[in-house]
Amino acid sequence: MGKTKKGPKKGTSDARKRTEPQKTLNPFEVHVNRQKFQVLGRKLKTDRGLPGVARAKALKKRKATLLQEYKLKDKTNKFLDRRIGERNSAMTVEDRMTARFTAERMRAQSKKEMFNLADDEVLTHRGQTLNEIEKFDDPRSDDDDDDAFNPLRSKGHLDAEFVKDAHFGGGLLSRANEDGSKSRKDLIEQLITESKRRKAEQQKAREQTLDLTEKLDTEWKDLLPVINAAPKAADVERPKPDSFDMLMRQLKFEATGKPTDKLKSEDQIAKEEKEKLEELEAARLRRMQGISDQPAEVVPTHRSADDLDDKYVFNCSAECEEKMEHENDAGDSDQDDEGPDSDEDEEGDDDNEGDDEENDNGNEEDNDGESGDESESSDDDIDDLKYDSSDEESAFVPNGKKMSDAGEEDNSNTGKTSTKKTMTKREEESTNTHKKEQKSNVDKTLAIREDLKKRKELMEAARKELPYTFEVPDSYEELQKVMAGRSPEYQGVIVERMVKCTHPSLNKDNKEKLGHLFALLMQHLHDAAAADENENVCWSVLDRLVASLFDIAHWCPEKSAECIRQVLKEKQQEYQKKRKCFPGVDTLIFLKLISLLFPTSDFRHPVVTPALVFMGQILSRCRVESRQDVAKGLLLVSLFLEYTALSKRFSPESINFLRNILYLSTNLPSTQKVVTGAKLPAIRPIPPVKIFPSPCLSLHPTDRKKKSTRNNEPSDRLHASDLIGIEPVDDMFCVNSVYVSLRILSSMASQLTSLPACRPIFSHITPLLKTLLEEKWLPSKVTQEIQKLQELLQSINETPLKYLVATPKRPKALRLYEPKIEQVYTDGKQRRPVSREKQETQKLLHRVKREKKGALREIRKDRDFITKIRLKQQLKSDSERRAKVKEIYGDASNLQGEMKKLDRANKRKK
Amino acid sequence: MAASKVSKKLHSMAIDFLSNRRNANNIADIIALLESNESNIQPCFLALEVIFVEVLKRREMYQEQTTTAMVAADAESQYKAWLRECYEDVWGKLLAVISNSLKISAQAQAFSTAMKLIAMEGQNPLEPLKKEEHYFPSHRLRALLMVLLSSGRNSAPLLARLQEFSSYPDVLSNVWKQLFPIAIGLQRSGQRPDENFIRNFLDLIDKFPLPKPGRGERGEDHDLTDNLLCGQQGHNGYILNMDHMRKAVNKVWGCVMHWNHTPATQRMLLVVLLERVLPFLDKPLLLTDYLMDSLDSGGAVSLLALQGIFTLIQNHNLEYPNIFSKLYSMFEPEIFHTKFKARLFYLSDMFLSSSHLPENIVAAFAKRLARLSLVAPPEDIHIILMFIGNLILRHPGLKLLIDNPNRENVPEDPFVMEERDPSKSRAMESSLWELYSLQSHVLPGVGTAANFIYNPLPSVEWDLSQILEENSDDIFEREMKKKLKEIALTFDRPQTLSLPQHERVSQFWQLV
Repeated sequence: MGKTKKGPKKGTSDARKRTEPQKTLNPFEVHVNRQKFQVLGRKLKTDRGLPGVARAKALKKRKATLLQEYKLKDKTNKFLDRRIGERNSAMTVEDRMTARFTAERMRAQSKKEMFNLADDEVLTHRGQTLNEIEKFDDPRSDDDDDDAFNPLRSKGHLDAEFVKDAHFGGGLLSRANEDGSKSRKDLIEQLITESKRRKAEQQKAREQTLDLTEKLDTEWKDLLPVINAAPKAADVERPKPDSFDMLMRQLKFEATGKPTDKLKSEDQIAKEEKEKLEELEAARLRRMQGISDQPAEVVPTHRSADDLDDKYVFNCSAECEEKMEHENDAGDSDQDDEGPDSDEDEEGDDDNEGDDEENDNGNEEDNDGESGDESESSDDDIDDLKYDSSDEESAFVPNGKKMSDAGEEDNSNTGKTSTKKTMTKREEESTNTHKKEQKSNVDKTLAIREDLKKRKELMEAARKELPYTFEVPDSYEELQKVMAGRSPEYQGVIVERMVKCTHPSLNKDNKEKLGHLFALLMQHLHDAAAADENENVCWSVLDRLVASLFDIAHWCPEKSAECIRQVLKEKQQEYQKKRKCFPGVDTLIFLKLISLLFPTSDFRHPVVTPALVFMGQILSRCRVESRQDVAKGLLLVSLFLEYTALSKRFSPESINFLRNILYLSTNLPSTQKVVTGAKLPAIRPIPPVKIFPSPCLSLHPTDRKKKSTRNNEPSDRLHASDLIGIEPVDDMFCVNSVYVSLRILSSMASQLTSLPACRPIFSHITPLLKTLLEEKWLPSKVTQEIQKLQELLQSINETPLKYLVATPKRPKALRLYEPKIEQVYTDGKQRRPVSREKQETQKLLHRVKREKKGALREIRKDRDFITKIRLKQQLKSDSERRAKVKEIYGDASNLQGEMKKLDRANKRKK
Repeated sequence: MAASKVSKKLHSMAIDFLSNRRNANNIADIIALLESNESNIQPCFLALEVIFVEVLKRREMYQEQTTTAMVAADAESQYKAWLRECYEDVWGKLLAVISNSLKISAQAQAFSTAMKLIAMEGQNPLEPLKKEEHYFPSHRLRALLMVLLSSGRNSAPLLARLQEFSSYPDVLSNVWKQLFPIAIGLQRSGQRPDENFIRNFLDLIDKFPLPKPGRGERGEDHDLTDNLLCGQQGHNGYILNMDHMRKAVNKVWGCVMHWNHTPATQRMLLVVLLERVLPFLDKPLLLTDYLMDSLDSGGAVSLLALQGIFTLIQNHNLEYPNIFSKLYSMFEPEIFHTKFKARLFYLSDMFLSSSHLPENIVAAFAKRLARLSLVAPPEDIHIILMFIGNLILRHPGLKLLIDNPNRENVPEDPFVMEERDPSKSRAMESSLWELYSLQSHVLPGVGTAANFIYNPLPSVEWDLSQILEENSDDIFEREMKKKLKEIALTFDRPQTLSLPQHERVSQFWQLV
């Protein structure tokens, strides 16, 4: 019996926890919500519940929380936790323990225990001293080994035979039959000795194994150095890999050839270039029309019943397109022609460039041979990366002329020239340059070519002279130090090299540096334009710098755009102070730069649009009082023309300015006497040029020189020196300016032919032209120009006008007779097309509602709980009171009874 | 240092004079000093001011007998007479300085001294008063005004100083009272007031407050004793008679109207008339002829005249049939460069606000404005576009101008721009091609604003008042503020100053 009463071992308790039976649900406790309709696949949270359990749980929780609170209600006593660090959340548990321990030790240091010598407390863990534990001996437990080989006995169980013998009467009957000599007592004694013996054996065996393991350990430790030493020796012995092996390995692990882009033929490269350009051009066109990158066409959400599935949508965009198309037809069909042609041209260009590039590369290689510098080789690398390798050939020639020039020269080269000729033709058509000019152009281009050759030589010289590397300067002063005294060509080379040396692919900081360089160059340009009063270096500086500026702008567009915007803003503020005066060359040069760097045809562009506003302001406000003003105005007008060349847009300011120039060149200002503004003559200027008082500047030559001006042939182009200085108006300038403004007017008119209001736009020009024709001083070239312009205007006047038609309203959909079909999903969720935010808010609202309900229910239950407790208390106190009252009554009646008894006894005595 | 020494010395001289009569000749010294040196004007005037303010307060110049019969030769009266002489002399100097001095500070000092002396003299009259009446030295004020007005230059700063005194009711009423004799005096003497005089005069009228209409209408009188420049002790009950003031204003205005005006002064006159005087005139309808005449003179003057006529039509039942053609003729390209552009648009918006106007007239306005928009600066195009949009909203018949599907093509615009009469301009037969063309204006803002002819019209009119005062700097600012995410760049690398494609500038310019 005693054997069975073995205390529970450690393992058993664990096992019990593990095997704690999963509480089987009492079927009577489960409440099932019966559903009326069963839907397959639907899962409900609320289909079954355990009301009793839930209630009990809730009650328990309430007792733990609400009841405690209720009990402490209206009580001011407080339980203070004085344990050290219990409230301090910053302390960890260990900190707290150490703090408490030290506190305890401090207390122990009191006087009383000062002389206590045995104060070295021995710390223990599970009965062993910590010192012992720290030896890291194997703390063997006594029952871990034998489990393995004797599962039955492992936990002190008796073996089956013994059980069979001893338990349940131990088969007394059979034994009695077999052998009566052994009594029960003997048997048990035998058992006990048996088990003791067994135990002793076990103990012994265990001790033996322990000893053995210890022995093994020590032996192992002895062996250890031997084992460790062995592989080292092996390492030394390893033979050196011979070259063959190495080669083999190399070949083995070498990466196999990566798939690369296949080598392209020139044609393919050209084609790709072309495609890229076309793509860019298409993007530009989109921007010009003010269409953002999002798809403009909105897919019609609704389809009417009589939709023919032909994708025909009757809406405004289609209509607009139609209109546009129609106008293109009505106009000179300029754009239609342009499409196919331009492709060809570009091909031609590419071919050219390819050739040039070859030549260049050859040249550069030569250079390399000579210099053989490290820096040069790095330059070379960069060259490949550069946006478009520099070809000096085309660099100096203004585009149109180069083309025409090439056309003249390369007559033998039939294949290429044909395309070039078409190009030149188109150029002429679009810009209304004329055959006569062409001849003079040829002469001029020859001269220019000469000039360019010289320049090229100069450039070469510059290239050789200058050092090959330039650091990007940190400050403007440093830049000035480098640039000071250099000619524009040298400056161009310097900046080009600076840009090469700080190519963004070389270092990630280079982009920032280049952005800074851009700002410095802006300042440099400004100073070049502001400083020179007599010479026009600034334009050639810009001419040389433009390529580098373009590259920088492409590497960091945001920064450069922001930089130019700042410059514009500054200039505009400067201009605001003197509204009536034309700003200087230092403003105009930036306006030209903008047209070089940014696409001026965009519908709205962060840099170009403010520039246009500014230019318009200048033209419509500034007084024209000197030769320079006229020149600046004409430059602005030609800039306007350039800005709008592609977008074919219209600016009233520039036409007004040209009108004023023409007016000033007639003799009207001197003959018309206008005193008040009451009755204005039909031909008159528009402000800022005023008719009264009569304008102070006249472009009409004085009488006596009429003949001389007549014989002078006007030059095609105004010169940059007209923009500066203080020279007065001379006759030559009069002729030139009139000639230039006439030509600008005609190209503007041809740009705007598609506009229906073209007639009123140019209506003020016609009478002016008539009066100009009557004048005697104009050279024949100018009069021809006038006549041509008149013809052009006449042709514009002859085009019929089409009445405006509003976009027709979309036809109202017929009433539909087919049912409205909505997709229904089976998961029970509504799939209405609601926006994401709306969905979110709906979800939140739903949640709030549910939470509110839940909270209300909880509050109600709490209240019930409290009332129940109150009632219980009430009942309890009532019953107590009743019992007390009863007791008192009982006592009292007892007393009464005894009193009566006493009385009666007294009476009796009497 | 020298200046402060001089002023200290002069101050001590003044104190000496006041403390003892033996130092009486100090005053003569000061006057002499005043004449001798230009730079000493200010301290001299200050010293004289100190002296005479005290003298007036002590009533040392007070003379009982106004009759000169008693030429008693006693020292006291002689002294008094001498002082009076000095006083008059100083006044002459003050006026001379105000009219002639080049230094503004000297003028200002003289002016403030003069005003102080007037105040003191008003409080302590030089001669006995007849009754218990309010005394104001109006002859001094008149002289001062005369000097201010006819100084031959723009005396706006001094007039501004005078304006500060206009819060005193007695000054106010006396100025108005004195203006009329000045004006009429000029007329009688046959003198023609020059431009500066007129300018100053109008400036004064513009600056001087008129009787407030609320009170002035009924001509109520007010007791304003406590706030007087020349309030004497013992006298009370100064009464500001609004009726008198109105009469004075009317009289003055009657004179001003008849002077010869240059265009500049006429414009000023009209501005003053419209903004200040018109509500106080007794018979504003009498102005009609004048306004009609100015209406024909063109430019800003006619615009102002038009506003006057509009006020008359609105408030005084004037009937003027031809008003719309006058307004119509005012829309010329020059109008965009005058200061009164906003006023014109505001006015014409009011004129054309009636929905009962004949359609062809309104269409003529719309068409003419559209034509003007082709030469107008962008800020004005905005206004014009909204204006035309509003016209179309008010008169649905004008939708034909932007939507006319039934007409065939025309060889040329039927609208006659040169026609002066809006009803004969055949605008209804035309179409607003100008707005269509403005869609391709260089500035994107204008382009999008002109798009309204393609969109359904709004149900509420556009508010013009917000954009009337806009200028091109605002447009520049707005464009600068707009930031696109991506900055597009050209894709053709330029090698030189000329663009690889579509170069225009180098066709006309040889810059390099």
